[in-house]
Amino acid sequence: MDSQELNKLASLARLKIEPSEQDALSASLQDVLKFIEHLDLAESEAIEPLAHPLDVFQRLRADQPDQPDQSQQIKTVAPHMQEGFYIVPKVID
Amino acid sequence: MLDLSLHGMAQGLRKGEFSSTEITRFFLDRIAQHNQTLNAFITVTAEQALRCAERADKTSYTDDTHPLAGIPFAHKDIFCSEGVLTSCGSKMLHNFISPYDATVTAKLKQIQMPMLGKTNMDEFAMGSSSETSFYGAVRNPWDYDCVPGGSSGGAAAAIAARLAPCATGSDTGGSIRQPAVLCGVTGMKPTYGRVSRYGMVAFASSLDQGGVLARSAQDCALLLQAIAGFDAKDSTSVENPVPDYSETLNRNLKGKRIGVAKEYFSDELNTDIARSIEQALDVFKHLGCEIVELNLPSLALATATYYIIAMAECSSNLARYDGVRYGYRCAQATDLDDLYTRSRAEGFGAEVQRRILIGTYVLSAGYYDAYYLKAQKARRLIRDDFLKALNRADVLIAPVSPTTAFKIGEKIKDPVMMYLSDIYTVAINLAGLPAIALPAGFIAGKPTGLQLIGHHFDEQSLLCFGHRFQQETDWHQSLPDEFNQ
Repeated sequence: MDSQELNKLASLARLKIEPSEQDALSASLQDVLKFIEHLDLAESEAIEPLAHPLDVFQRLRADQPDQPDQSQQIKTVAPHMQEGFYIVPKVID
Repeated sequence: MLDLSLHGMAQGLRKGEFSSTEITRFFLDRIAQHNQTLNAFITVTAEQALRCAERADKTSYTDDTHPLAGIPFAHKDIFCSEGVLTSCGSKMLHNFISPYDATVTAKLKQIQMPMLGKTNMDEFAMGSSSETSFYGAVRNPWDYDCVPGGSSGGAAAAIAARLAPCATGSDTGGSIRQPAVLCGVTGMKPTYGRVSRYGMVAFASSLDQGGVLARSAQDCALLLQAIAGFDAKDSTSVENPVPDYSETLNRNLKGKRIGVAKEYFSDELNTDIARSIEQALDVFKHLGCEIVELNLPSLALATATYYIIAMAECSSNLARYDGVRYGYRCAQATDLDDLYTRSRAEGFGAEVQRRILIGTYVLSAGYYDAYYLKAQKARRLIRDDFLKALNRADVLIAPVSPTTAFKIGEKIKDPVMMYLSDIYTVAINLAGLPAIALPAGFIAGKPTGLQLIGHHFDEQSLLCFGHRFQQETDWHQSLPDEFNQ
């Protein structure tokens, strides 16, 4: 995995990678990818993919609120709130 | 108190031999004495535990009171606990005082079990050694230079050293069973969907399952009973009746079939571990069980399949940590992208970042079919192999860990070597099956063990097999000398 590929991946994953970390990280990701390539042995062309281990269907509920409003409690854990709004760096000039 | 089972504690409370406050103080004192050495707890909630114990003592203990009322437990720091730090072993959640209770927390609170504290673990449950925690490595009570396994290493170490009589855990690829065996305690990973995941910090949502650790299968039965059951708040919770696990513990095993899959017992398996499992099979034969030889042809695909799926789901689940709504936020972000990328780079440890990157890779355009889709197909092959095998057996027997507890630092720099610690456990999560890990001996002074794997939702049989085995053996009663007073 070259530095261009690594940077693209880091950008998709929203992770900042320091230039000094790139070589070691790249090597370790390469090791892991080599390890999971073991799956190439699988003959699974005609097999249906399995996302859930049990044969169950997604359960739905009526579209009605069934919990009390907890927005005040949830806001207490935000790192930066002001007047009920989440504060982030300026996005519009 | 040191040797009492949960049932023994419940009886003592009913006879007035001691109070919940006395039991809770006993374990809090032991935590104060030993936690500095073991680092098994991230947070000790002494005041809260004693308040709960006092409340339990005020209501008289009768046959109608829940059998676990007044008996303390240790809670894995992956379960949200209102008003208490829920860090999941990460700097990312180092400031997260949960505003609500997980369903598991609420259930144990409701029956008045005092929570002694939150146990240490691998960061976001990603690890097999409890070394990746932001709060430092947990030590194995049998050998301080060794890991306790992971990710529920704090819970397993706490039970082994008798810092708590029982504990919760979670198991995505072996995180209850492997530390249980490395610390010589009993651990139960229930069927996927049996225990609510509401409020349990997500790692890989199609694999994660809450469960329990205790000294014995009998104790696990009691604690599992308290947390199992359908929960409308968890869309993957399964509406299936929960039987009385304690009632059937003494069932006769005569004629029951134990499946032995040759793929679990290849020449690569450590000979001492293989011998301990053979000896366990002799115990089961003595109890009247029949041994059936089976095949699991797709088992060799399990580790690669597991890591692709787990990392893909991890990258998706951990996208929620953005430095905006909760958790760690970097200082002086210059723009929104800087806020996201630096908060995540500074808040997540190396192993978590590695898994997010690989997960992103296997889900990205051009690689999805070759990795993620292929892994989902292999998952079906693996699941179907297990179902076929279980058509011929009541339970399967298998090793849990390829080695006994390894040295702290031995594998942490080599992720692939660490992933191979899970070689015998991950397939069970892919298949969503329940499994119980049981202590089965010692190798050079360190515990070893085995796992029994059951049919979907048949935790009952696993607990029964485990209990009958523990009536014939005393490995689960062992206690390291340093903690025997």
